[in-house]
Amino acid sequence: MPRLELLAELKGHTDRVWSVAWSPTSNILASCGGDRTVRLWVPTTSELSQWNCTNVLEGAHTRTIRSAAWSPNGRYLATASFDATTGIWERDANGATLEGHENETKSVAWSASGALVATCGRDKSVWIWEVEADNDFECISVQQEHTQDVKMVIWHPSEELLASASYDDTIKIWKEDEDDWYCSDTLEGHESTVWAIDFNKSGDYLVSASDDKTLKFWKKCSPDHVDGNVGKHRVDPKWKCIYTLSGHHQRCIYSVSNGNNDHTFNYTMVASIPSAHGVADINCVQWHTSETHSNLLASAGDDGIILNEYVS
Amino acid sequence: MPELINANPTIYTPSKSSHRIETKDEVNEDIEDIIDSQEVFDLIRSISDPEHPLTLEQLNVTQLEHVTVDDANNHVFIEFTPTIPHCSMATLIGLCIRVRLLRSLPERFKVDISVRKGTHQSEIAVNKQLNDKERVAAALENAHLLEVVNQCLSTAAMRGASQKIE
Repeated sequence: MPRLELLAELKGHTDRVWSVAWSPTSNILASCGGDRTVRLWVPTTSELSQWNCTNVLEGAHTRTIRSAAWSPNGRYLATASFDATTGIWERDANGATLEGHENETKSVAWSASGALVATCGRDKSVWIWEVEADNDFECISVQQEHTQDVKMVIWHPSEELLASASYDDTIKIWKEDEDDWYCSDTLEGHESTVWAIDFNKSGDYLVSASDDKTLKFWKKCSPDHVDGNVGKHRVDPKWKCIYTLSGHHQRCIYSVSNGNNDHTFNYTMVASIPSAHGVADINCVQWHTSETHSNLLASAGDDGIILNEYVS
Repeated sequence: MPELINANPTIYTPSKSSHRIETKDEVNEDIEDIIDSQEVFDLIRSISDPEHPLTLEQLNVTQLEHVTVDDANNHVFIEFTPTIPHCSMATLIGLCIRVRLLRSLPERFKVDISVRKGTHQSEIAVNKQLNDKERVAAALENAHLLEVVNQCLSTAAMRGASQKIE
């Protein structure tokens, strides 16, 4: 019977852990949270039951670090902080600080090519930055169509297509059109804050997690008005909710992770750990990004970090 | 002095029955006390109002019957009643209640806080903000706001014992 087994507990953070992120190129887990530090963890045994914190990145942010994201080449780590800035970290280098949001920055994401970075925050805006030489980042677009706090941004796994999730209960899809970014679709259906979103590997599906205690699955479909309107309107794919999964969670769902090995979603519960973090909230779950360790699930909670192995 | 949102609030006198009478079982240290609505009400009744030298109980903002505790399922639900439907202090009052319970209740409890239905013109917005843990965490990193909250909580330990705030 498929199950999740506890592999390790990663201890070191002195406050709530908000987020974890697996390096796409090596077996490193980054974590961040209320203690304003980022910690990097590497395994010391081949069974992955022991992990050491090899680096503590601190001093750059003056408030909670809400989330972290690795660049596709694994060279940079970006961090979004309540201090309104986004930090860019590079080994043995000075890094960079992206400024512009009015207040709490909540999420940061790298596009598949690594050429673009997106950030979002409580000021209801989504910013798109171009990565230039010498750790220089230029803001190329600021989108303000969400009517509330933007909780999370994530890029499509291969295209330059951005998705954002908001306290306004919607998800928006952003595209570029001749150097201009625009909202190509608004996904409505959740009844409360959308906390997290993830694409499947091919990017045809999107999954969202909400305060309304449901997960929704969205499929990229043909544009709604192909006939007659071509040329009048931009013809963009329409994302349609094809399934709502409810009844499994009694409280807000803060995080969702698709993992690396699925091409379509499975709507059946295959394994669960009740009270995985005891009485503490779980703020983030992330499947390992590599094929070799794709059965490894890291979770961050108000009490710390644990690693679980999915055994099928 | 800035203009008060509600210059002349109605002041309520708590009934004597709102004071706890200790039972034999509660005094007996061999019996584990479950946390009940009276216990939780005692934690929040003496929080000071942000703009009056009065407690939330004296202003009838908090009431025992609007505190629901499910000890077995680790759940607390608090409804509070702003003194006026356009009270701009509602979010702050709710935040004070949340912080008080964060600091006093065992960690196992999940707490939901709402404006009592129909008592505030922005009740949905206020409720959403009060129950968003990220917004609460960010608010508590704001030194000025935290100072205001701590000020309101400075009387909370009275647990309804004395009704006069100096």
